[in-house]
Amino acid sequence: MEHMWTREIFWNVGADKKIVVYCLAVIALGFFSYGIYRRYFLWRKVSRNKGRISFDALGKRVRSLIIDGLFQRRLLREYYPGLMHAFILWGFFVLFLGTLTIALQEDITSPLMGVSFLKGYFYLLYKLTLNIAGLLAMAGILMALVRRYIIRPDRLSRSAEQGVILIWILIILVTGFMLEGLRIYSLKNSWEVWSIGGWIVSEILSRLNAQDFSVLYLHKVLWWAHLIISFGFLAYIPFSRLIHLVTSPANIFINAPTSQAVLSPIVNFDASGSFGVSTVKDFTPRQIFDFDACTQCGRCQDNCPAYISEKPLSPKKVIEELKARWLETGELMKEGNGVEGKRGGENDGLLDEDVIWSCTLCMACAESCPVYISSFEKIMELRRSLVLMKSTFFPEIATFFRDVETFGDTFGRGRAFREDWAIGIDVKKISDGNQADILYWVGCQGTFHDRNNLIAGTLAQLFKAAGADFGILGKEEYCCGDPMRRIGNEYLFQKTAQRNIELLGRLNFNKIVTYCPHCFNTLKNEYPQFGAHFDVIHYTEFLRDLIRAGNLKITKNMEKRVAYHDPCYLARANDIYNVPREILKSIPGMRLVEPERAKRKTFCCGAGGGHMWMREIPGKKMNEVRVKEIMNGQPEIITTSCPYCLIMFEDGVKSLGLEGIKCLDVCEIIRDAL
Amino acid sequence: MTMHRDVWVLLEAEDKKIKSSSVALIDEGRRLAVQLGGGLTAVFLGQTVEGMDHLVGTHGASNLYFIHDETLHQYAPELYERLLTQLLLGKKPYLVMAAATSLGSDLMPRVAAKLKAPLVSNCVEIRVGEDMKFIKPVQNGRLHATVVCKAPGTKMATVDPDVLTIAKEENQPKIAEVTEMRPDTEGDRLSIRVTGFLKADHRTIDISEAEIIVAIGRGVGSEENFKIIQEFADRIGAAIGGTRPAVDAGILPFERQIGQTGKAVSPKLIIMCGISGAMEFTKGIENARTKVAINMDRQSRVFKSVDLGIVDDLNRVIPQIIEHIDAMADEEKGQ
Repeated sequence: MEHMWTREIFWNVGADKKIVVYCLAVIALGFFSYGIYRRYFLWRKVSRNKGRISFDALGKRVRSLIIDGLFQRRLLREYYPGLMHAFILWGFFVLFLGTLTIALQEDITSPLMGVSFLKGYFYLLYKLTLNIAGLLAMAGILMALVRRYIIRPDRLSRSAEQGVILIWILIILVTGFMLEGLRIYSLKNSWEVWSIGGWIVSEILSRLNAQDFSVLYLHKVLWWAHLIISFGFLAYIPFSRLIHLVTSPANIFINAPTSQAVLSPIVNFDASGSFGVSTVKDFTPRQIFDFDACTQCGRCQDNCPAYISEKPLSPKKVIEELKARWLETGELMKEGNGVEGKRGGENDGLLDEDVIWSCTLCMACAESCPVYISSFEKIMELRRSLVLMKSTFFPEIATFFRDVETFGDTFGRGRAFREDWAIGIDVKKISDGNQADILYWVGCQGTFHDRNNLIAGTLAQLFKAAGADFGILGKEEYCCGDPMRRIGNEYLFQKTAQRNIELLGRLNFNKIVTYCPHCFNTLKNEYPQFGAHFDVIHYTEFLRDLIRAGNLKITKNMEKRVAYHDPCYLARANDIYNVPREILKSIPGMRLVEPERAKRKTFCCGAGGGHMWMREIPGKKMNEVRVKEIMNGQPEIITTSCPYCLIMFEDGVKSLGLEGIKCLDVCEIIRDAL
Repeated sequence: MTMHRDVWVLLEAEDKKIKSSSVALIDEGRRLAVQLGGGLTAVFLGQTVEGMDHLVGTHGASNLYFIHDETLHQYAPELYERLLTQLLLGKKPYLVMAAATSLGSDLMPRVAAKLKAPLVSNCVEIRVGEDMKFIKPVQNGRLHATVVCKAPGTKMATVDPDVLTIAKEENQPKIAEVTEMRPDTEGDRLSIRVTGFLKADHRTIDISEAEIIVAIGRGVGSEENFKIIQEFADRIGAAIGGTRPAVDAGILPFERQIGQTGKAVSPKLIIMCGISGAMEFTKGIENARTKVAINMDRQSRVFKSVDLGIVDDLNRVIPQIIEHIDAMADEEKGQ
């Protein structure tokens, strides 16, 4: 009886109605295409910059599309909302494939080759799969309704559209199951139990003892209703948040190779008259596309240290607001209301300045975004405009810029004092005639800060103890440029970078080892933008190698509970989080406690993005928020490998009145364990 | 060369006395005039000051131009500018100096522009040579630039009042020849007029302008302790500033924050209470003249760079100082 396991495709409706179905399909696709076309105008034409979709690093793009698009890796980091979304996506994906399979048989294989494959065991499997998919999607929708209307997490925005979409999908699924149930009820084939959902409906119908005539009539009406609702849904996609079905995967594809650790350079300062973004039109088409890829899921907000510290910034709202301004501008342009429309044209204040300055450039928003949108990148563009075009920044930042520009360091001390930290350590200096294997890049913090310069010294002593051939630049060292770049002074950054690149290019060494993760990231990832490719490693990597090779021997036991805090520019930007843990674990007796947010998900200490030199923006103190979080693990020592983090934590521990908690750099712990 | 190598100095008065910075400026003018081989002339616009001719003459100026009119009793930028320009155009001195006070810093650029003369502002030293050399701080006082003036004709300079000190040597009493001038100011339409003066209140003055500051840190601890500090600051007419922790704790508003993320201050005296001396703070007091610290911790970093360090509880020290000040005030009253 195997050949009986199939169904008539246009059962009860009549195959002659096929033409009507296809007409409706064409209309729906027409709406869909028109919507996308309208959108395309907004994506491409609002920006005054040219954008091109690049296809380099295709492998990476496709891989990300599969992992984060199809398999929802980033979404599934949070179980409830992750599974909820995945159920809907996967369910619909399978249902869509199912519909395509029918079209394949009905329009290609059957009329052209006389082959119908939807029968027998394959048909049963097909039905089972589609039913499971449908039920999963339904479960997802129900979860979404519960979440949106009962749980109500803070990060979700309220809008009627969201509810409409969910109910619409639910209706499509319910009518689908009802259709199947009605058909199964009238045909009464016992093997159709494989169509679980439809079978359940048919069972209900038989309990109700439904009349055959009314069943057939209801089926016919529902069939058309289901069809029209489904096509309507297709047509609705580009006119609603559903557009993310198109834009989100596209955005993953577009942004996959972009490294968050690197800010895009302003090229050709002399030729360009405008820097950063002061109106929506200054964004590139790629950045504008980001706005449309955003689904307002709010993961960025949940992970933003500024938002958590009650500062006036939400990375989600940043994108929402910019999106609104973009659409407003686009509509005005479409109406032919002049390129410089009244509201959407040349307007200042895309975002409040307090919002723009609240960001610490920790990259947590970009890290948590399931569709690769970087909120901080947009904030950065606005900062550039404030700093480079309008010269609007806190007065203490003016002092800071002047210090770096005049003295080449972030402390405004000057090169005469550059070697003071090394007094009594006897460190070799690398110069034109003097080379070394390792160039130890100390950084301004290690050089001048009266706590961090002790750490710089400890590091030098460890290198010496391990017999490493290393040298410093001494008076020739200069700020790496990171804080200027992240405050928005790209001009000063590039001048600084070029000076350093010229110097480093002239000297003989094999590797650069840095103390500060910010110097590390800048030298390693940002200098290549200017043609300089140095082999740069962080000191934790260097120490790990020295310990592995047996050049540094850990001899002491340390019965201590130690919490390691991951610096953003080491863990999130450069994936270095196992190395310091490996070092710490090599000390016998040490109990490593992990803070709640660790590794790539780490939480900013509060000093990034120039905040070391900026006033506290109203809200909670970020360093105290983080110290409290770390203290949940009840450590005796808080350790990290970044000078900024250390200063912030020492201050946080003091202001929270935590007695007996020590803040140490990883290298200080190593020194004590030798 | 029959060139005039005369030096002129602009005097200012306060409370019906010639300001000490102006007196010191005459001394400096005399030093330069001797080296230049020219005469020294003083010029003063304003209200009669008793014994002015004697003071000016004793310090070495042979001439004094005294321009007086009711309208000149208070600084009127346009009028001062016109009168001084007219006078200088006629006399063509070699060098004109004023103290870089608020008046000097405002008036001299106006006159320089009218005379098309070179002006070097805020000098700390002036050297006579083939060309005049003016040394002035740049980059917030961390570097000094030497400005060489090669232009012919009148050169102008303002001098940092902080470097102007009255010469110690005894001068022979002399009387300067006074040329009184009464200008016709009827036709002048002044767009800037001084309507009155408000005395700076140490409680509200911007800390970057305060001459005495009491700075507080985390060590002050409570608002209760802060009251003693306030009382102390009122007694000595000091503005209150503080470290970031003091601001974060809500004891002070942000405008009163000193340091890396706040303001840089340059008072004549700063008294630091309960401040550990982290460099984020000390960066803001690099230009303070006399530094005093009160801290319980003998090891505190703050003691590394102060003129006077007191190792004690500020709750003990400060009430004693207040008592002492009150006793002194009573004594004065008694006399």
